[in-house]
Amino acid sequence: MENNTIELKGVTVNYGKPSAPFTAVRDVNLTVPQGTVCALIGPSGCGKSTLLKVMAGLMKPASGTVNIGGRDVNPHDLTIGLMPQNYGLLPWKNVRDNILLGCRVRHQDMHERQPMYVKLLEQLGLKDLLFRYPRELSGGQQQRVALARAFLLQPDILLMDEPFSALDALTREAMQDVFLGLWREHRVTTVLVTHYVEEALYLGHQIALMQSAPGRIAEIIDNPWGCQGLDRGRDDVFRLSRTVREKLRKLEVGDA
Amino acid sequence: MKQHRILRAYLLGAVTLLVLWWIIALLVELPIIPVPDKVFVRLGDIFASTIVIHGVYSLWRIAAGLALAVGIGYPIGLAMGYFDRFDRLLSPLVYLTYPIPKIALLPILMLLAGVGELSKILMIFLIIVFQVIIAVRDGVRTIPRETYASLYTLGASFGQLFYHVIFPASWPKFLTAVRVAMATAISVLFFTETFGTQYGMGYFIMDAWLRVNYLDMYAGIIVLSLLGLLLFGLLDTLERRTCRWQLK
Repeated sequence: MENNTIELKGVTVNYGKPSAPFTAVRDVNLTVPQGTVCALIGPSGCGKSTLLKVMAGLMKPASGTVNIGGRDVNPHDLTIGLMPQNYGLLPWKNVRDNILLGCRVRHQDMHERQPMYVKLLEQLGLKDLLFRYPRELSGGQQQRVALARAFLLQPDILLMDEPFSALDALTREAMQDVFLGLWREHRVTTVLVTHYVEEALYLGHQIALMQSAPGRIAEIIDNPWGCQGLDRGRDDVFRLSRTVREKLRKLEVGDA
Repeated sequence: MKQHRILRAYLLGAVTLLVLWWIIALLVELPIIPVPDKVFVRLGDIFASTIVIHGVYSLWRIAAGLALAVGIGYPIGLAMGYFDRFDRLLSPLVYLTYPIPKIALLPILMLLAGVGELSKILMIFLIIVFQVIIAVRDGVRTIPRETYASLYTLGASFGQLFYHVIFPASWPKFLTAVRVAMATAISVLFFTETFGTQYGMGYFIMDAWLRVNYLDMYAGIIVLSLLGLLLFGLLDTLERRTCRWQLK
């Protein structure tokens, strides 16, 4: 099995001019082992999205290193699946072309992907929507298209920036289950940015709590229930969620 | 269904114009405003033998000018929209020259490029090219950075970015610009065709006027208007076919 462990060592990211930099994240160390999900959670402006951009190769850290399976982040060698907040669907492409976009850009063998494509359409209920455009879809449907694109690509790592935030509560839980189903089949190393404690607990094997100004990781909690698909209302899950909430509140108070 | 409605709207427009024309012709009773039926009979008589060649000349000049304007304006607009440095460099130049009424440059063009075909095509080129540059630049510039993000992370080449994002995103603005410029181009073409040529709808209409042949003149005006209708119709159809993703 390939090793796609994500390793961040002493990562500091600055914005703005080098002469007067604004430090978005400082000295972040994080290891996401192969085949696990890490949930990044914290107040807005704590640099969660910035960290994701660094892992995606969209930004270079001012110092520190980012490795994926011991290799530098290079979009030409690695297949990085990125699911941005707005799903990243191209409005001028219909559902089918949006799903196939990733594979096309990577020049993957479409013939070989065909069975998986058909299966994903089946699993995500997209078969009847293939020739619709994104504006003709509901938020949940757009999310499904984005998931189909990401998993069809069979990425080395998957990065998701608040993927379920724009959905209403019920759709969000349903989509978390859809994600869970797909993830268990493919077990891709995943980093998930979220601001929902329940989501972090439901999906993350690790939960990295972040604090802001400058952004850094305050604590990493191992979550025995990550991606198990356990009953969300279980007592022990509820207790852990209360602990996480308490910690997050302290972090926010500490900032203020 | 929708096609039918559009066709009906066009027919209604044409009929309204004809009725107005008829009423005015009957009221005024002057040779300078003949009744439409006589004009249409004349049009039927001389269309194939005379007018067609003039129409083809005018169409060719528009097509050549448009092709030249797109061929040169598109890459410039693209570079200005995508690379800030190009924009900083070229915007002043474009803004300084864009507001000049291009028809004011006609004497210079005719001195430099002669009174023949080239100066007419260059005139149309000059009118359309600025609209194309600015529309493409703005179209490319308004693409949100995040739109590129998922392609960047896949290691997409510039060619792939262009094919998947830049071209389709700026296409509707580009079409609108061509449509707006087209109306000006046709009216200026008419003017340029009154010099140094014996072909073109402009020449035909002015020539008929000088010969005091009002029926010919009106036949020419009708053909010129139909020419415009044809061009706009083509652009509209193209837009409906290709921009379904953004139509409400």
